[in-house]
Amino acid sequence: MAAVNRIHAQDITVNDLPWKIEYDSASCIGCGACVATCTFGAISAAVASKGTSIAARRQKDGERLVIRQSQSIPEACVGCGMCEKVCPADAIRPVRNPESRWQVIARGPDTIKRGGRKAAHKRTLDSIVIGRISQMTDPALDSERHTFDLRSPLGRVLKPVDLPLKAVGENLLIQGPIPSVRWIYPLIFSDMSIGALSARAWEAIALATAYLNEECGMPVRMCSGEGGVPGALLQSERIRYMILQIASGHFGWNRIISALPKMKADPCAVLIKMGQGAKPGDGGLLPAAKVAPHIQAIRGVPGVTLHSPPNHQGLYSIEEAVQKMHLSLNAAFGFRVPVAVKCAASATSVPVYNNLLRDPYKICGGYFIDGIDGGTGAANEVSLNHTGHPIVSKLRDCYRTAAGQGLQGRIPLWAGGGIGMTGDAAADAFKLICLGADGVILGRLLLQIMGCVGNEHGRCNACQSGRCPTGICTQDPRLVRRLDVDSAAQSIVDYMLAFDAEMRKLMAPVGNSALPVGRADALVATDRAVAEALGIQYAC
Amino acid sequence: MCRIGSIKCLEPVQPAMALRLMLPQQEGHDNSGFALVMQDLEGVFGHYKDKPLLSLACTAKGLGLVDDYMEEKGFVQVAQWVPDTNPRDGLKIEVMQRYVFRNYDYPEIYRYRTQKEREEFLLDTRLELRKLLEEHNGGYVYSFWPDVLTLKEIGDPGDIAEYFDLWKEDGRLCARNIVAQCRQNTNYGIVRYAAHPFFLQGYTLCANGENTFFTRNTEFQKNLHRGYVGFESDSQNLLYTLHYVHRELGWPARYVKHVLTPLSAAEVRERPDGEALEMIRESLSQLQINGPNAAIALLPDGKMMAMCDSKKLRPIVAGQHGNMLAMASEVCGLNAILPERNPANDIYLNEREMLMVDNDLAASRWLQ
Amino acid sequence: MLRIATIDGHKRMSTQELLQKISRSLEDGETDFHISASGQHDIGGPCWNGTGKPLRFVVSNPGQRVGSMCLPGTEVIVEGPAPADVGWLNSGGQVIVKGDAGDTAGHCAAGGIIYIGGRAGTRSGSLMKRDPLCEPPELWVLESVGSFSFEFMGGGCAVVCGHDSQTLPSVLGQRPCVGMVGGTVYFRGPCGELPPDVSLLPLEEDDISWLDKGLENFLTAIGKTGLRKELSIWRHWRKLVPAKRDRAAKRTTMRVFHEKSWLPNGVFGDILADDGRTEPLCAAGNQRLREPLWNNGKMNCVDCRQCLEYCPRTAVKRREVGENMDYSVVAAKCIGCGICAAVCPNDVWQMRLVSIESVMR
Repeated sequence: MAAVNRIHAQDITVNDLPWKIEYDSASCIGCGACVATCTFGAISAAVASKGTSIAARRQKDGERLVIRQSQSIPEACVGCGMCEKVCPADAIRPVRNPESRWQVIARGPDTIKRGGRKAAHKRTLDSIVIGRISQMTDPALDSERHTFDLRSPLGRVLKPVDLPLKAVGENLLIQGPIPSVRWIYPLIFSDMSIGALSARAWEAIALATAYLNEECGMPVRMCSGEGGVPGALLQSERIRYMILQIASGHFGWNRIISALPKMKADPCAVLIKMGQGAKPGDGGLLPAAKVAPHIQAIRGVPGVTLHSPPNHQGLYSIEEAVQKMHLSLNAAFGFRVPVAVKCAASATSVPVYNNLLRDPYKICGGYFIDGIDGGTGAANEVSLNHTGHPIVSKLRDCYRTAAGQGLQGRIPLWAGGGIGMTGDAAADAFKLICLGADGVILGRLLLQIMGCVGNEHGRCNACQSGRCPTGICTQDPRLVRRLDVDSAAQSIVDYMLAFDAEMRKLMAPVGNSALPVGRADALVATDRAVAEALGIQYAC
Repeated sequence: MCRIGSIKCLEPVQPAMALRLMLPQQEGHDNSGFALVMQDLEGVFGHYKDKPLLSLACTAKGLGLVDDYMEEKGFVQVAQWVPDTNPRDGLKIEVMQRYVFRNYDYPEIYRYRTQKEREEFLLDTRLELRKLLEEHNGGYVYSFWPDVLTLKEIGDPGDIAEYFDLWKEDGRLCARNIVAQCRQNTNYGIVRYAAHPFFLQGYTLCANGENTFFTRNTEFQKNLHRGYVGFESDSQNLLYTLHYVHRELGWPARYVKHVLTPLSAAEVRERPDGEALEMIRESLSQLQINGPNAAIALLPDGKMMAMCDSKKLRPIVAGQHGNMLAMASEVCGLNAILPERNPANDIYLNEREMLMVDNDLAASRWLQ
Repeated sequence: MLRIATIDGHKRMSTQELLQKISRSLEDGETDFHISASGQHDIGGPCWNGTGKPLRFVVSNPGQRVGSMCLPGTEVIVEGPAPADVGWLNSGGQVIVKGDAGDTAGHCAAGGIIYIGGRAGTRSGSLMKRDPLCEPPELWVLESVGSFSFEFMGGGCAVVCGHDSQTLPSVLGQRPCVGMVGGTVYFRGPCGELPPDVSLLPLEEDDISWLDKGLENFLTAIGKTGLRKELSIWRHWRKLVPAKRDRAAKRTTMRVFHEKSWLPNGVFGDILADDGRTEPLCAAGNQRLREPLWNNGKMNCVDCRQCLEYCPRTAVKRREVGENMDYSVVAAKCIGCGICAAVCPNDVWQMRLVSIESVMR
């Protein structure tokens, strides 16, 4: 009773937290599995009326071992549900607390941080359907019988008049070099760094990439994410499947440069990261605790907290961003490797794209636009919730701007941010391609495929905590052991094979055997405002 | 689906030959119109082969606008042919008030300009006339080019033939090349410009198809050349691509096939010329077509060619006898005008082939 | 015998007019038709004579679908070539085209025999099928067929004789037999790349005797009996039948790919020790997230044995050391659930987080 008397109105209790543990002591068998498995320390074992005598405890009904939820903010339950998963007696599970005061109590003095994703909202893509079906005017194709060409460019594509081709008799002969362009699968495993992911998760994606290329004939590429690439991979032939990312911290790049003389093959491309859709204008930070020895080895840094500022310190203007940065990275690989740039979608995306398109040296090989629904390993909630720009209209604006100048396709557009948010990545990809994307980049969904339980309704999303209960976004070797590399890779491969089949299932009814880039006539919108903004048919 | 046909003959033939070619194929089209382009003319135009010929269907007011415009630009009319018409009740034809075919002499300042400059000027003039007539709802200008005549009308092809007296083979209207089609455009708005064949700067193209990359092609072509206008039909894309590849880029005509229906990445990789093909495919990917298509084209030098989509979803067959070669969607058309030929020599074009017929009728079948 | 001309001056009889005219004559008992067609469709079927007499159509210059939906007892003979869909949905008739046939010849034929005396076009024989109640359909082609032939073929026999076609890259065109699930395609000459749907086999004796008999009839029908010898060298022939295959043919497993093809020590092998072992969600030993410590001395153990009783893993060990009690946990069994600490009346057992740093070390 004494404890009860000490509770004040202002104290944080379970009812203030976003998740409440629903626990049935009658069913509980006291196995302790839920507590042992909880990576957040959100629950603990206790006994009722602790302090009374053992004899009394035994006699009184209901005084027994119970599971209690922690009431502290650092140990707040995130709703991951691992307790429910391990409980042999169905006695425990987290439930969403509608009375949560989290947004008020969790601030101060620091900002609220979380990983993962935006909150669920109505997506533009969901008010678009593929409505131009080949019916009588032309035959639909057969997704299983016909051949389909699912390849997208990454690299600077010259205008026809600029091609170094000369007609000699009945043949065209090549008179000079052109920028290199990779024709790859229209979906890139997007940039998630070795610091953000566990080594196993990162390796699983790399392994799946190799498998898809070598066993399934799908030239899928993976972006390394910021912070370097393991030396063993740099020096292997498999580096061809990798897109090397350089971000503001340039982590790992001196190691990459040192490895150049030893590399057997060129990477697919280099991606300059200017920003990301989930938290544009917000930098990254890898706390010292997470800078595990292998990360130190790859990034070429000691085990200290690592900052990636929101901007590249040496770039003061768009001209420099294009010339200085693109030029250096083109030079690094002898102008053999396409160099692309990734920006957060923004009201300024179109001017940026214009600038890239008009660059006389033709050194930008791709414009990756990352929309507001993108995922992240860690962000200030205020950035995650309130900054960014939806991808769909911005991608469309960029495409139409280029088309207005006859420059569509010259710098491939790759769109990302929330691809596959509902699980249907192929439909999202197909719609964005019809709106002008050459392909899509997809990151967060890979985590979900590997077993991440986070969602848009606030479940888990604790990537920033280092306590990832599935071993995907953590450096804790104990948690990493929860992930099996082969089965994670297999899940990715299986999803991608289905993705490929689904892409055909969408291409066939519109009668296309090649990717319908910019074929907005294949789409209709069930929302008038969306139709108008995107320049597609409205249907109801 | 429509039916297309063409005739190439060492001796001039008359539109009646094209009508006979198309007649047995009637079930395949909807008899909603008739259009033909004739090139390498004889008869009434035989003496003016170097004088640009304007093909017009317009209102009386429209003709006045054209007269004024041409005079202002300094064109001098040197010949005119107005077809005899046989109006009769019950003919299914939507007539215009005036059908005019006129040869002009270039304006003074263009007499000593280069051929190329003259050709650009002819295109500009046609585009201006088109704009002028459109603004005043005054009619249609189909072609303005030396030695090329275009006639298009909405209605039943038989009735259109009767109206213009095209069955009468009096030798006034004849050419060594004819490309024809018997359809308007029943899927979309009925617009005279939407009827095949289409013409641009010496290039004629007629397609039986549905280009499902119409939007993609059109968005790209709109900024590629000032002459790429209209887009009333998805098959105009094919003409503009042919014009772009052959005239603007100066590439051999066969490369148009590589642009329209490129080989897959895997196929390209295995070829000795793969690198060039990859460049082409990459740079011109917006001009790739999709969907069922068969096309016949006529080049400025009189060569005639044909090709299909990459899945060969629409047919085209060519046959020859003596001094005449014809192409048609269906072999029954060839049987009607070339009954004596050996059909075993007919060429059924495949999905990866292109047929090129020289002016001496030598036909070469080129595998992509 | 009824002769029908379909062109009068510039006027052509429509398909509808022609077919209705034929229909009226059939009702009048006419069985023999000679039609000078001009592209009219659907000549020859479905037609029948009320008294069961056989019908014969001799046709020149037909349009599409000549001999389509033909019934048993109907013979259609085309003098010269015919456009697309010859014998479409043939339901038992005999259709003879002495020249070439256009695209999709024999498409969906489910009975009867189709003889093509020249080439046949793209997608010929596609979706031919066998009705268990009827004799299987046959499609004979003297020369070659176009690409995508015999797609989704479900039954019947197709024969491509490859006459005068031996220099083609494939007498079956490109990508033949995709999705073929039944029937047999006999052919003579080269064939291109085949899909996994079919098996390429040599002829067996049954095949030869069937072909031998059929060839005689075929060559007689198209008037090319002189080719009998050339086409009867059976070693020049092969056949395609649906492949017996496990549709879910297994790819290399990820584990095998990982072991055999991946980087020898993985991507991180040189900088991060990882034996690849996985742990369940409740891990014991050095994989625990928390561990209990018995702090006797600081607190006072009363030897109540609650911890012993409640530990779900029987990890707690009690030992008597002289007069004193000594409690400990067997790390290999303990999952760090903290129940020992929860039940301890005097807080002797205390839980401690096992830090990530200590684990990494």
